Amino acid sequence: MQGMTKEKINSFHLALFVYMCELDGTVFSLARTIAENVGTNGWVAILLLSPIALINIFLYHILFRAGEGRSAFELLEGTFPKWILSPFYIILAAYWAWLGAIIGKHFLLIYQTFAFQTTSPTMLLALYCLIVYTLLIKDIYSILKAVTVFFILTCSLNMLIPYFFREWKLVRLTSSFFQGAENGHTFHGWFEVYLAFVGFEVLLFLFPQMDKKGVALRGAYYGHLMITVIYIISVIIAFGFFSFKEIQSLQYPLINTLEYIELPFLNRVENLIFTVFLFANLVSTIGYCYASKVTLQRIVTKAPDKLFAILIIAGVFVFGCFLQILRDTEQWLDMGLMTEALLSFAMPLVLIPVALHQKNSRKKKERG
Amino acid sequence: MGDSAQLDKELTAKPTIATIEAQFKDCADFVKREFANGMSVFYMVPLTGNNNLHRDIVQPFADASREEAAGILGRAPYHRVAETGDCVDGILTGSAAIFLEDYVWLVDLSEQLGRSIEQSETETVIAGPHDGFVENLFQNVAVLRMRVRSSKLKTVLLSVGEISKTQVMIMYIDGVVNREIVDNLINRIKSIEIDAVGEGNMLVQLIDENPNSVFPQFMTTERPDAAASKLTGGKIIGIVDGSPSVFSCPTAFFDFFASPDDYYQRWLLGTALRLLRIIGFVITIGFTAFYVSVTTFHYEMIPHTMLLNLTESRSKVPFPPLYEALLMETTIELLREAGARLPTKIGQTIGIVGGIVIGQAAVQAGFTSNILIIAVATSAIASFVIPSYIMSASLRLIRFGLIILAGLLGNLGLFLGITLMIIHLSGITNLGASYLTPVAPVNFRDMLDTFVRGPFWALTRRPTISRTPNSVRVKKRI
Amino acid sequence: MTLRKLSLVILALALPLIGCSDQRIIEKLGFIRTTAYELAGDGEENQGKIKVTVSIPKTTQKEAVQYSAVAKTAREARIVFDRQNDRRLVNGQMRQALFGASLAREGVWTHIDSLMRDPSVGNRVHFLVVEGSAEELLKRKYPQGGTAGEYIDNLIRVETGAMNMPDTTLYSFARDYYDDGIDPIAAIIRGQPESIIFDGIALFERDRMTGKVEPDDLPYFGILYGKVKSGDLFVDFTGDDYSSDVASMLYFSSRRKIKVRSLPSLSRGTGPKVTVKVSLSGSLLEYVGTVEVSKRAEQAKLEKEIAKFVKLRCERLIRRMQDARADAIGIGQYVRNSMRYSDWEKLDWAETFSKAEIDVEVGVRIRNFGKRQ
Repeated sequence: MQGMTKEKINSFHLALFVYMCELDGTVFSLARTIAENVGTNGWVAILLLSPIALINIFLYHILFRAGEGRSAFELLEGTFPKWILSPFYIILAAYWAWLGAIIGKHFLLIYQTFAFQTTSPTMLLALYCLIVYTLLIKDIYSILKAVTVFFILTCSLNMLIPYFFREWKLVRLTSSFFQGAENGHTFHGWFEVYLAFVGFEVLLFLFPQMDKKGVALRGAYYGHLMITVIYIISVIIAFGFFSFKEIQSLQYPLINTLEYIELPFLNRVENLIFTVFLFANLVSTIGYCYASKVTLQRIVTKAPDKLFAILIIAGVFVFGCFLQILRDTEQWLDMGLMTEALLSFAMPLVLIPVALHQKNSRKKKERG
Repeated sequence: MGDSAQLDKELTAKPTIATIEAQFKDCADFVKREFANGMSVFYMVPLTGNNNLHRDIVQPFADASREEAAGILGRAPYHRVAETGDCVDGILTGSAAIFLEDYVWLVDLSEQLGRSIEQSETETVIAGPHDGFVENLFQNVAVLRMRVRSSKLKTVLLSVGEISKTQVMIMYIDGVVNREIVDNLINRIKSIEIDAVGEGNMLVQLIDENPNSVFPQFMTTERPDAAASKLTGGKIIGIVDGSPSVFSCPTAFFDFFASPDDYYQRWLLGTALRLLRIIGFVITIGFTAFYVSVTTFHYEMIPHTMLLNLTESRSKVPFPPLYEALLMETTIELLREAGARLPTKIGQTIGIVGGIVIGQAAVQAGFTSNILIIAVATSAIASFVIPSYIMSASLRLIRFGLIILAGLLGNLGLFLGITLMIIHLSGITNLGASYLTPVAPVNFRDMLDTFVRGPFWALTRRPTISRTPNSVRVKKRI
Repeated sequence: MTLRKLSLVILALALPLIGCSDQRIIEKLGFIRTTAYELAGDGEENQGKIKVTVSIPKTTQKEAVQYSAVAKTAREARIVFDRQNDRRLVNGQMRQALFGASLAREGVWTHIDSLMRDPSVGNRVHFLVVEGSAEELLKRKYPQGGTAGEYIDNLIRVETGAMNMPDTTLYSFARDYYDDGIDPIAAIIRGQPESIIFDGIALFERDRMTGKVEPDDLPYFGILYGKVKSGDLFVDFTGDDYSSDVASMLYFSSRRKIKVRSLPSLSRGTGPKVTVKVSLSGSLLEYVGTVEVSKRAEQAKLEKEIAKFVKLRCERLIRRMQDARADAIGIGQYVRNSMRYSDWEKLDWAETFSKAEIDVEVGVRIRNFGKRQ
């Protein structure tokens, strides 16, 4: 690994990482979630919700500045004794492994409505876990490299967008805004739409690998903006391709749009393209598993890297095995992501005062 | 054991006739000649040239007196050696050891052995230089020196193998290369512990970072023009004596898809060729697997106009698509291997017999479907588009893995396989450089010379993978 | 390392166990190309049941196997078919869903819903209405060669191409069914002894067929429905108002604009006033009549005459649609977009549409007159 030690995460790779972490199973149903909870021309809601996530990223940026690039653990351990933190760490690590498991299992269960209906879901989960494991035992730079390739493959799907122009009609978007939401506008409903953005908070655990000035963090904004644009495009396509009420009735509008594509040498491309989303879900799972691993490593510092990976993958597998019904999984996913969204705000809000406090006390020491 | 320890101790001692004779005991090709003036000359017959022997030994010393001989030995090309080890090494590389009184001189009588420079069999180009590397180390160095006439072209001579003592020459251009990588490479070669190294492709397996990977991690070439362009690109070249395969490093995955003649054509054509190879890469690893996946699991994806034809041709086949595909892929690999082992003329016949006769008969006998034959043949042909033979062989192996996965889990299996491959690739490094450069880490300037062959006015920088201190290749006139 | 190897070995051993039950090896499948739904007929036992016919092409491509059964749903009928067929029947290659006209008049949504729920059925399945017996249409042999399914496929492709009709697929049906500003349509085919004929377009109110566009109205429907890129228009002037007899405009392209002039009012119970603006341009390649087409002034006159004729035909067609309460051309979408959402929600559009005042403005421009002046 000579020469690797000097490597730092640059903003480009962070952007892709943030993009891929945010992109997960929620994108399949995003158009429906929006149609149900926001109503007509719901794509505007993405525009409105996206800045909230941007503010969240900005909080991390502030945290990075305040903590001078130190990791969250260093900051916490500088103020609190370790025995207080340890149980807290264990809960967080387990939670993230669980969230990673739900994201993976959710994808597999959706996959099984389209193909491999009778294949044992546990078996597929085992395969999924195997892949997560092979990536998890690698160092973060290798993970980011893999993410880059996954991004290229996933992003190339956007080339299919022009295919929908022929059937897309502006008139179907309707001229009214935010009307026709099924249960009216609720906080819960809008929150559910916001969940599409959850995932970027994993960048907190990449702090130690960034340059000291935090230039790389700029990538997080770009990555988030990129995913915002992609979400908006995919929702606008769905809204003009289907009629508004139809979207509310479709389980996964994105997959239905893909179903329409018919190439001269290939029909029903959704079979193939849906599989490409494996990459996106994999990266989300990896993101949380990595967070979980880093947290666990904080408690037991001397154990080998692979042991943690095995432990976490075992956790993912066991958690995943409990989920067998798509409906339940979706509920759990919603709940998990909502908690994660709150956590994503809570983490910097807790850590920033800690970091500032440490900074001040250090300055005082320096002065005298 | 005692004997060899004894011999080792002698190696540092002053050479004597007795020790030399002891070292070369039981070597029938070892010759001792004695002259009237008291001179004794030792050499290995097969390593020395007759003319050289005549010129440097027989003619000057045949009638020389002891004093005259001593006078001649004081001049070039004779040089004194003080240790037995040097003396033995000298004899082994084709020198003659001359014993006169208490002193020993060496004179190089070696004759270049091996074939003359000719076109490489494995890497051929249509337009471009037709010389290829040969087995002789110094001939190869000479070929490179002729291409890069610069005193900045530095060489380091190393020796690998406890017994074989194979010479390895590391070459780089000072000021362009990253010294850290050179030191790293030299250290790695020095730390090899093996009895013998026979080939460049073998040496690189001993020094790469991921010995269990399917992928070759050092680019090897038999073409001097390719090696020279690597040198000027800031990379390091390694030549192993006795091998026409010259390795260059650091290497990235996509280097294996470039051929030197991309640069000899117009850039649009070069670009088209590069893209063709990428398509070839995709077809090689994925086409048959995709066929298996679609016919086993995803019948909806087949356009209905093609479906019935496919069903018709599959209907007589007694096995599931997975076995059908594995069978045909194995057959075509057998054909390829047989063609490679046999003399060229018979090899061609094998290709025709195998390809046409077996293929046709297999379809008629209902052994396979004709569309599978097309898939298998296309992916076999596509694999030969990849310029590096070693890489194309690796990809063919991966293909089998993907076919099996596709046969078990359809598109999901196919993508699981691809995912594993990507994860594996992203973990590989070569001398600390990412194997996936310039895709990950991304470098758009490098991509201009990877997936496409950019016009020369755009290729102004050396590739970042060589981490060169001097990245400007073309100084733009302002 | 050893643990990893062990787990890999276990996985490798377990791998062959998975996926087998989901294999769909193509030669072991019977691909349903066409599914036809019809009313089961009269009689006590047929109450609430439908007759389902499927056509499965053989690999020779010349023949197809048909099965028919009376059942409550297509799925129930499939169980009967499965018991008969030697290959496993699958829906993934279905190309056409045919609905008998009488069944279509009663409503088709339940069947469409279960078709669209099936993940193996694509949303590009053609949705067609059959006049006459669908079962017989599928069973008959045609001199055109090939199976009935293939014949219909090609026919629809050629016809929709020439008429610039949209493909009526499950996708377009479901889309327009859910859209409250437009009603779905479907192509109609009818079996004849020696052939299958494309016989106009079925108009639906929600999911019930309520009317029909006659074949000779098709170009006008195309003009009203949306953009026509290349259509043929044969104008047979009848009546004394015209100075021409016959004109053929080929390769015409058209654009449509819908202007809502006044909104419907719930309180007063009035319908909206809508103008459909249509502009046509094409090559005049056939003309019989008194207009001297070589003169510039006369050409303008001819354009006006054609426009007048097209306008009349279009308005007649719209009145037909209003009678059928089927807004097949999507005027409701434009009315909706110029109203408040809550007002629109209160509106019964089918009712309002039938009362709407819709007039058509036509502009015709003749691009050229062919090789002669």
